Amino acid sequence: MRRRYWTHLPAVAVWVGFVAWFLSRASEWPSRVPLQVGWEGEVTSWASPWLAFGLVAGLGLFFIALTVVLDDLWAQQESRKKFNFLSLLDELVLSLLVTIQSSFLLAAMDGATVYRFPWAAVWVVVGGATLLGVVIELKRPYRASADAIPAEGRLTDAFRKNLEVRIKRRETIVFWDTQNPKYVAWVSIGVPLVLWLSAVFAIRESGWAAGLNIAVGLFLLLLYGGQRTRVSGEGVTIRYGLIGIRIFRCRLDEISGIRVRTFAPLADFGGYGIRTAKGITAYYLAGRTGVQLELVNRRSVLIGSSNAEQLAAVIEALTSVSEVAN
Amino acid sequence: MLVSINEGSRQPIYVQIVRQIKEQILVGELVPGDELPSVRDLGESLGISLHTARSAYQTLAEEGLLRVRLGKKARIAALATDAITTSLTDEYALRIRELVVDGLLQGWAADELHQMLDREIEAMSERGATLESLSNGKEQT
Repeated sequence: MRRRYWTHLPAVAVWVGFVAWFLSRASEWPSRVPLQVGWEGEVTSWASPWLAFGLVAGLGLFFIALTVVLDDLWAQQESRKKFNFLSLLDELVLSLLVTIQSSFLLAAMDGATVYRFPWAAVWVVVGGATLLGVVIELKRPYRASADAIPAEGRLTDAFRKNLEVRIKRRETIVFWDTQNPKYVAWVSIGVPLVLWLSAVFAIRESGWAAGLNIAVGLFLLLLYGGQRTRVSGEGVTIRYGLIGIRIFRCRLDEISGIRVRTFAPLADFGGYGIRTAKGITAYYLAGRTGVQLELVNRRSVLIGSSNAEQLAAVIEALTSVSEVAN
Repeated sequence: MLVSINEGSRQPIYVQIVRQIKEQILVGELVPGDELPSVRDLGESLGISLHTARSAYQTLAEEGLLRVRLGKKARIAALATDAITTSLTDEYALRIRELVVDGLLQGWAADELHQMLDREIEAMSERGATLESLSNGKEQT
């Protein structure tokens, strides 16, 4: 079984405990409880206990679901046992939310006027749940996922032969590779819409917050279109987004090494996009295969591609032509 | 997508592009859903006019091989390989007839034309052309 839901048990236990505790005392809660508290302990926002309960329970479920998705993604990419720090996200966030809101509820029941951050309870609950999460993550066995084995490349010998024929004929050769997964469209269209909508509501209260929302939305919109890699006699170019911002370019004579490789986006580079780790600058939006270029200035660049073998073959072929020409 | 231009060829440039894209679809190097470069990118990268690049995409779209929508990148279309209609049969027959007439006029013998056709079919099979390669879409997650 690829999914390892049992690694989320501490978070689920905290969530169930909070729901059961709140419902068992449902008749005792005052009509208004603090939702937000300022630095001095003064209440800045009040709400009904049911709204506070709904927020904590809803956000808790969201973070459990998010961690399950991230954990699943990690499992797909894991080629050997590695500590998955992302599996602790739900334990950390959920236990923190539950502890703070529970302390507010209890203080409200006692008729408190000033609310203090519950440091001791946070250390005990958050620390306990996270520690349990760490132990479970350390103890979990590694199970090889079929998805962890890289998909066979679509390159055939015929592709190389075809390429050689074109080079012999001295044809102008250009190769394009695109990474434009569906999530990019959601992030670059859906999220800006939400941000701009919230900016409309926020503009009266806080001009700078609305402006920030608009600016972040515009930035995300520019990502629409994904990553486009182009290889030609001029070199290798990577462009991003709606207006094709060029984020990487190198001439063919700057390349000293080419190899096809697999990688784990989360474990090796901590996510997707433009990443730097272990001395390698990586550009990818999807998949786990790519072409690593070693440059003469000792830089290493990883270009994500679902056609990595073809991409490498074209770069290799054009680089050798460039060397002969020089 | 790999495209190359042979300046010395008698074949118009847009026909060269169309032929290469069709070949890549046939051998499964391009699959339904694959995104193609924009007309501008294609033109600038190959050093050809935007009109030529656009004509290539238009031809492929008219043949149902490319999905082109306003403001969106051109993508390889899902192919209906089981729907060979009478009109398609007529069109292919006409194209083969043109080749046969041209070949015979150039002095090729009928056997030589047969062999040439067989060789081309064999070459495509060697590159991996199957009906399966036409129907397998690529999903990016």
